[in-house]
Amino acid sequence: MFLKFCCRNVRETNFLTIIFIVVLSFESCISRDKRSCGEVFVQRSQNKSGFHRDLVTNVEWDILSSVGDHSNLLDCQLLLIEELPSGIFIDVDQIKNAVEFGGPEVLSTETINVELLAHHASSHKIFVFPKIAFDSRLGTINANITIPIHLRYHPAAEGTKFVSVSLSSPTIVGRCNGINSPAKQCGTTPFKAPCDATQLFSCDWIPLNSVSKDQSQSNMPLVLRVPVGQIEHTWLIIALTVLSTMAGCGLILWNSLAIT
Amino acid sequence: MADAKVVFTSIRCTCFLAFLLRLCLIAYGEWQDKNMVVKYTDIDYHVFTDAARHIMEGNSPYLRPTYRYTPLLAVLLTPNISLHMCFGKVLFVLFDVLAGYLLYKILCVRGCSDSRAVVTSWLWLFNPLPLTVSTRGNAESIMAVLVLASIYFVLVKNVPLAAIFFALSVHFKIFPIIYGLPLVLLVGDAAYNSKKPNIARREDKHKSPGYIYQAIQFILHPQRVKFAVISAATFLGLTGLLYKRYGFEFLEHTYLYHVTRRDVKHNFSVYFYMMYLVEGSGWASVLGLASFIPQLVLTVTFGIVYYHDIPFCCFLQTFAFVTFNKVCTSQYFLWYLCLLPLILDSVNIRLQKVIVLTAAWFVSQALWLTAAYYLEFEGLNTFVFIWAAGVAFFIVNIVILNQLVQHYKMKPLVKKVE
Repeated sequence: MFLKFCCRNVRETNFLTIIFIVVLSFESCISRDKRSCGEVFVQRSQNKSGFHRDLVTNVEWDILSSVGDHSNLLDCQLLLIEELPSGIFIDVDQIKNAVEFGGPEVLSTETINVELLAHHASSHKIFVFPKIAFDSRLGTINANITIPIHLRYHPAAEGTKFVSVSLSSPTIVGRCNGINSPAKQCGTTPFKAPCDATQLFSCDWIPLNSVSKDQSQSNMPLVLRVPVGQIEHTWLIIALTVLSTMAGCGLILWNSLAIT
Repeated sequence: MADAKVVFTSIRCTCFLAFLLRLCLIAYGEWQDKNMVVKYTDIDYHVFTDAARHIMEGNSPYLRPTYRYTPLLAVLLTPNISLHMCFGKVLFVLFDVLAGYLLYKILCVRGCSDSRAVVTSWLWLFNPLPLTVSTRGNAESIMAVLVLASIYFVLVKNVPLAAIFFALSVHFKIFPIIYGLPLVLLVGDAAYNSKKPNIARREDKHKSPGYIYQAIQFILHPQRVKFAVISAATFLGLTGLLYKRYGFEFLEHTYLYHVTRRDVKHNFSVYFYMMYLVEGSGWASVLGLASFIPQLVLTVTFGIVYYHDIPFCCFLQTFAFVTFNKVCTSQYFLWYLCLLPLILDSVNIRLQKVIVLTAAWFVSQALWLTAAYYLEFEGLNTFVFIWAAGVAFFIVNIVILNQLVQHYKMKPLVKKVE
């Protein structure tokens, strides 16, 4: 009796366990697909120091889980929307020159004044259309984007030799030609943005969630240090500059008049 | 062998070689632009071309941001759009060679032998700085020609043409206004207008009954009035025409921007760090105006003291103007470099001293460039070092200016009038 009871219970338990495992597997499968649908791996860094730097962004988009395999993956595109703070600018002409050498195409909807100081400038939104590479083995789209950026002169500061400028992570969106509403597949609202750098048409893009391979860096802004003049130097520099220019002027004046 | 030497030192051969060399550099520039990320062509050349495109489309050249020149320049460069993109560079190169030819002509007028004049013109025609500047598409050679042409015509006593070229040079870039005073003084000078200068001066003095009469006679000298009227009519006529066509934008970008320009980013000027530190405070405009005083005092003094040797006078004025300017970049050095070959006979400095002064000029610039490199490309805070190097460069410039003044030997106005 006891054995019979035990065996039946064991069989039921096994059966329930199997169902539980199957359900869990199914659930996890669905949830994994949902998570990766709108996700991109992003790595962000900057090269060089000084006022002229390279902003390097590596993007990896698991395209198959986002839009399925029913589209021509070579027709897929990525778009990075960067919000440049007032302390940073790009030289659109410089970027245009680099396009034929593999650089990204960049669209700025407003004219960027490259001469202004940081406190007289405003922030700029730029659209970066990178050249992409399709990895057929992994089913991913990769883009290695290098944008030359420039730091603006900042006002002199007191008690410090440097000030910081923060550059936040870009908004990343993607799209594939031939898919009417790609964003719906990921259950997100389509994002309207220019189709390309010519800005002739507007397209629906899939908003993608940036995930850093190094979790500690996820969505962390890049912090750039800019050297600034020191307010405490002001009076000494004024005195010495005025003195040297007045002395130089006086000497020349004296000599030219004396010799005449 | 002797024939070969004569051919090589002929101005035609020199100009031809200089032009050929520049054409080669333009061709190289085209290659670099197509094959390398760092472009040979100056960014300003693209600005000029974009402005020329706007002109071709019947619009204002000022639709192109950072176009801060006369619309005439954009008009001159419209073949960049209709003919070939390199047209402007070839034009600048032609102006560059013409500047060299004018140097030769001025030296001949001042009594220099033909071969010596040709060799002296090499200082401009084969100088790497103007050579690269014009082939990269910078318009400085136009300025050099306008300034040299006004000097040449004043020396050959063609006052109307001198006045027209002077007005054109002020229209293209405002700074040649500083030459106005010596030019006006020169064209009315008794020695300039007489074959016997000393007698003319004495007679002039004896005729004058009083100071007021002398002053009126001095100001209303027919040649001075002629020069002033023609140059004012040319300048104001051009300004009026272009103002009517392009409105206030023209005044703002061609003239006002350059007068009110306050660039606090690191540059060769001794004032750079001071102007940066006071940027945005009430002191900025006070010190900005105060820094204008030495410039004004020196250019006026040189204009009065040395007007009888107009090339030397213009060189000193430009050198002082650039040395005491609030903004100074290497492009500004061209303003006096085009006059340098003309003053070699006006000063009597030992060769050793010339070498030391030239070396000091380059070394102080190298010091500044090193400090600026560490700030701009390495991100180190070297503002104080840049300022110190700027002061060192300023002192070297003052020493050079002082040496020129001390070793000046009086030159006759003109030896040979063509």
